[in-house]
Amino acid sequence: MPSLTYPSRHLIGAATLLPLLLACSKEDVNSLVEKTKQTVSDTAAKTTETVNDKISDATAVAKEKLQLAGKCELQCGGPIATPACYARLITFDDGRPSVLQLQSYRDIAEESFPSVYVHAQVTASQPTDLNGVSVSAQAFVQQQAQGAIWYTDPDNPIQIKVNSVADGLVKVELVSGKLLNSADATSQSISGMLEGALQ
Amino acid sequence: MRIAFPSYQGIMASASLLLGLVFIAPICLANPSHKDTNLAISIHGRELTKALHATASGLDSKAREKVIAFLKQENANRIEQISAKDIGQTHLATTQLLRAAEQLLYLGEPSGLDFQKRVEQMRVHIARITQKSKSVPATQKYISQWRVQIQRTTAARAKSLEQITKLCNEAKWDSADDELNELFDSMEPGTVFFESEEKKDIYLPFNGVQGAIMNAMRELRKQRGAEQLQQAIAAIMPDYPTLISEMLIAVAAIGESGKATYRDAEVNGPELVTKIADTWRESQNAILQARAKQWALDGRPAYAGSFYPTQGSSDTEDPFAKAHLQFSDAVFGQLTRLIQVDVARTTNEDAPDLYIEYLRALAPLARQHVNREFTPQMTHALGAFGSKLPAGGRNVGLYALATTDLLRWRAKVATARTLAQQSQYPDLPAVFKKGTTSKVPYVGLFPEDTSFASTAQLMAASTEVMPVAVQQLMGQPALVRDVIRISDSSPVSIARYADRTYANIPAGSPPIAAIAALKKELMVTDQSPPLTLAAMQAVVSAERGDWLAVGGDITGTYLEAVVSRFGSLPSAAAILTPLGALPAENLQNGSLAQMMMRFDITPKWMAYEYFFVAP
Repeated sequence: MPSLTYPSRHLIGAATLLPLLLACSKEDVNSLVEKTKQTVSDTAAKTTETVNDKISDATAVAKEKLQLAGKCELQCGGPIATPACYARLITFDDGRPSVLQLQSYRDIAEESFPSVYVHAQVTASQPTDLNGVSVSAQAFVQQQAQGAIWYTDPDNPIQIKVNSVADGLVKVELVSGKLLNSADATSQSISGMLEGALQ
Repeated sequence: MRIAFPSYQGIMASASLLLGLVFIAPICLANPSHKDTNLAISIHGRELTKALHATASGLDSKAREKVIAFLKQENANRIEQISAKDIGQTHLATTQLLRAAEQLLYLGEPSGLDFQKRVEQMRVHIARITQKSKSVPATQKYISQWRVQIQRTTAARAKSLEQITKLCNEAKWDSADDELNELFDSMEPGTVFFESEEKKDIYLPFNGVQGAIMNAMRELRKQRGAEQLQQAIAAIMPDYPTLISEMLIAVAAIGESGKATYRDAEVNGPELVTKIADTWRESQNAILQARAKQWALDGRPAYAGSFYPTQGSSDTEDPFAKAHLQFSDAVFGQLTRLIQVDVARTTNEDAPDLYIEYLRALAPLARQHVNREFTPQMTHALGAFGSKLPAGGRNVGLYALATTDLLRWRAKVATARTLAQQSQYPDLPAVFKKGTTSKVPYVGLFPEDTSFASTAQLMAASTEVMPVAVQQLMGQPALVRDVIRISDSSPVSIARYADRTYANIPAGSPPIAAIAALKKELMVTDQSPPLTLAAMQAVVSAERGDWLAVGGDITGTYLEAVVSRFGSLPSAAAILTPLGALPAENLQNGSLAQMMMRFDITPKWMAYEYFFVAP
C-alpha cells in the first residue's frame, strides 16, 4: 500500500515530468512519450538479457555444482523448463515389458519444481534399441510443490518418440497428446523435448 | 448444565412419525435418525439394561404421543378437549421415565441423560397445559373427585408409611422403594393438579423415608451398575499375554516346518499373517468396547443425589490406548519375525511363490493399519527374501524402480483431485458441526460460541436436536476420507471414524477400466503379480474398493452416543478405526454426554489411492 502521508516514488516521478509536459506542444508530448517508451523498453530488454544471462550462468554453475545433467523443455499452456533430466531403461527377465522413465530429478529426495515425470512401457532390452522408437506414455508435470498437476488420462496417453540415444543422453520428443489439470480438469496440449542423462 | 429450551416445533415436527411408533415394540435398539427423530439413543449394556431401556422407551413414546396430542389441541384453542385424566397419566409417565432414566445413568447409559432431557422438555408443556386445564369445568370436577379420594385414603396412607418405615429400618431398600413408588404413582395423576400447599400436607409425612430410600437406592444402583460394568469390562478385555504367546508358538512352528496350528486352524506363513490380522482386529474391537464401558463407569453420577454425570476420564493417560499400542508393537514384531523365520526355512525353489503369498496377505493389512510407514517397514522385512529369489531378487528391485515413482505421481494426482473437490464437498466433520451448532433458540450438539474448541455433546434432548439437524444435514454435499470396504464381498464401505463422524457408503461396482489401466501400468497380469508390497496394495485396495476419499450427498443421519457406539461395537465394524491405535477422545463435560453421528452418503465421485473416478 502506498503511504498516504508521503508521496510514493511513482508520484514524485510524475510530478517532476509534469512542468516539462505542460511546456511542450501536443506533437512534442507524443514524441516525448514515444521516446520514454523506447527508453523503458530498451532498459527492460537490457535488464531481461542481464537477468537471463545471470540465470543461465547460475544454472550452469548450479548444474556443475549439483552435477545435474540433461534438461526438459516443454510447452504445456506455457513454457516449462527444468535444469536436469534423467533417463532410465528398466528391463525384466520374467516376461514383463521394459520401462523407460524420464524425470527431472535424480531421485525423489532431490525433487525440485517444476517437476516432470514420463513413464513408458517399451520392448527395448538395451538403451540403443530405443533409437527411433515411438510409444505411448504417461506424463506428469507439476510447476510448484503445492500446485496443480498436469497428468495423462490413462485412456489417452501421450505419444513420444526417441530421437536419439547417444553419449549417455536419451533425446525424447513429446510428439502429441494432452494433459489434464488436477485442479480444474481442463486439458492442454503438451509438446517439447526431454534430454535425459542415462542412469 | 444448560437446560434445553423446549420448542413446540421440535415436538410437532415428529408428530406424524410418532403416531406410527406407538404400535411398534418399545425396544428401541436403533438411534434417533432421519427416519425417526424420536427413537431413543441405543444402549451398550445387556441384561438389566435392556429391559430398563425398553421400559423407558415405552414410557417416552407414551408420554410424547400424549404431549403432541395436547399441543395440537392447545394450538387449536381447544384445551377443554384435553382430558384431565390424560394429563395426569402423562405426568405420571414422565415421573416413571425420570426414574428409569436415573437408573440407566447408574448403568452408564447415555440414553439415561437423553431421557432426562426429554422429560425436562415434555414437562414444560405438561405444566403449562395443566395450569390451563384447571379452568376447564371437567378438570375441576376431576380435581374435586381426587380431593375426595385423597381424603378417603388418609388412614391407608398412614398405614403404608408405617410399613415403608419398617422396611427402611430393616434395610429392605428395594421393597421400600417399590412400595413408596407404587403409593406415589397411585396419587400423582390427581395431585399434579393440586397447589403446593395442598401437596405438602399429603407428601410431607413421607419426606423422611423418601430421602432415606432415595439415598440408599442410589448407592445400591451405583454399586450394582459398577459391578455390571466391571464384569463386562473384565469379560471383554483382551488377554494380551496369551494372544502374544499363541502368536510366538505359531511363528516358531512356521520356522520349524512352514506349518502351524493357530487358534484351531492349520496354516502356513502367509495364512498366519491373515489369522494374526484377524486377532489384531478382534482385540482392537474388544478393547474399544472395554474402554467405552470404562468411560461409562467413570461418567456416571459421582454421588447419591447427583443427577448429572461428572467429568469423564482424562484422555491424556489412557491405559487402554497404551496397552493396545504395546500389543500392536508386539504383533508387528511377530509379523516381521514370522517373515524372517519362514524365509530362513524355505527353499530357493519355493521362495518366489511364498514371497508373492506374503505380499497378498500383507496388502489389506497395510491399507487398514494406522501407520502409513507399515508398508515401507514390512517391505524392509520382506527384503529377507532377497538371497532366495532368482538373481538375488533382481526383478523385485527393478520392479520397485519402475513403479515407485509412478505410484507416487498417481497418488499425488488422486490427492490433488480430491482437494479440488473441497470447495463443493466440504469435509464431513465440518458439515456435521455446521448442521448441529446451536443458534438461539436451537440447542444443537455444539455451542453457538465457536471461539473455543468443543466436541459434539448432548446439551438438549435428542428429540430437540435431531429435527433441526436432519433438516440442515440431509442432502448436503460432503467429503469423507479413508473409506474401507467392510469385507471383500460386502455391499457396504465405511468412511472410518474421524472427529465424531463416520459414514456408510454403498460399495458399488468396481471401475473396471481404471483398475485395468492401473494394472497395465504396473505390468500386472494373472501370470505376473505385483512384486512390491506397495504395488500389491495398490491393486488389492483398488479391486477391494477401498477409497482415499469419497464425495457425495448425505442421505442418512443417525445420532449415536460415543459410549454406546464403541461400547457395543459389532465384530463387522472392526475396521471402524485404523488398526494399531485407539482414537483419542475429548470427554470434557462427561463421557455420557459425548455424541457422534453416523451418516449415509450417496457417492458422486471416488478417489482411490492411485486414481480418481467421477461418474
